[in-house]
Amino acid sequence: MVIEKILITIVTAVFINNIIFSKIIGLTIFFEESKKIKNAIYIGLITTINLVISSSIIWYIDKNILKKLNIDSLDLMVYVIIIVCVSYITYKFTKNIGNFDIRGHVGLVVNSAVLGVILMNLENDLTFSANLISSFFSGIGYFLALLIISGINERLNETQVPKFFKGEPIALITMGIIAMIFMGFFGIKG
Amino acid sequence: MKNKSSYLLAVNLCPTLAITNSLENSLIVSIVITINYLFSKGVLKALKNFIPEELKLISNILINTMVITVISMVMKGYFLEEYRLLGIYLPLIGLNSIIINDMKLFHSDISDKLFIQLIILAKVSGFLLIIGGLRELFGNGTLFGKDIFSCKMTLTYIFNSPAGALILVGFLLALVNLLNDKQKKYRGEIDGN
Repeated sequence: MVIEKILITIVTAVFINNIIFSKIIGLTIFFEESKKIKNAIYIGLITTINLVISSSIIWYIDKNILKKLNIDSLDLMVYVIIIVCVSYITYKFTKNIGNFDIRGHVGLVVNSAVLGVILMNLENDLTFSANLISSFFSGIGYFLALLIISGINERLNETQVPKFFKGEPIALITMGIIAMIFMGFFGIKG
Repeated sequence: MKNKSSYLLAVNLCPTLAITNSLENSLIVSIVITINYLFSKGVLKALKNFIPEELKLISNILINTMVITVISMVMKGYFLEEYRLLGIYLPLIGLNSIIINDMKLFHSDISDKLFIQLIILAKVSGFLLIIGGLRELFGNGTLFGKDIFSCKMTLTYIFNSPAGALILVGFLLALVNLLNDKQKKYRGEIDGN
């Protein structure tokens, strides 16, 4: 029974509630960076690490401090401060791997995918372990989606796209077509 | 940066696409974006001399979240239905308006004047209304909840989902590029003569 529940959580996090293709959160950073697979791998891994660390800290604070002291209304500010701190620390540690300029840094600090997943998890009122699994696999789903998009974009750069569709328009249209494929997963909700 | 306008529109429209599947919803979202921008810009302008350069981004984020917290409290008190409709997207929309507030942090070659920011804000709101209207018309066959086509839209139901929204925005941005190009050519002809 436990394994079944874990599997349902994983499939829901990666495919059914995929952050990019079914919720359309966290695309901003994709338009900031150059659309290469190397960048996508770096951003996906960093986002996954941020998600796991900050969601476990926020789960603890939300259950044990904010609800006990009755200051629920300040929750958003607390979440944002924690997310910014965690992403700043992970950026400092992994700066040498990615070789990013300040723009990448700004995009990573205010990546809205992290906040979106954390808010979704808190809305569902999960236990600690379920929260951990869900946030980790949401990060993996984000990573997968970024890989798919950047791979397609690398190929699109070599083909002849109509003049006015170059850049963002063709990227959005391909994303829409992949999102249609992900719509097929809606039916298998456990 | 080759296409500034289409880039800015894409960045600002994307987080709202999941909920703007009707004209009413996109009206609510554009009102929230406008109020959030005006208040956070006002606070930032007022505190401009007290914020050092290194803390600009952090203070920008904090002021934005503060304004969004106030907006969500007001909406919880007076507009509960709209608050439930926005759900988790309300804080995300708020976080996204950092990009309009401080565009120099993201792209050093986009000028950071108040007038240009207001124009971008108006463009984003207008686009939201167009997208909401088209999606409701083709996805449901209604406008503001009233029947227009008086039949079920089974063939174009895709516009109700995020996938249809992404494709629609892609085509709209291509149209914007085309119009910009035409305008440039027209201006060039006038200058040439």
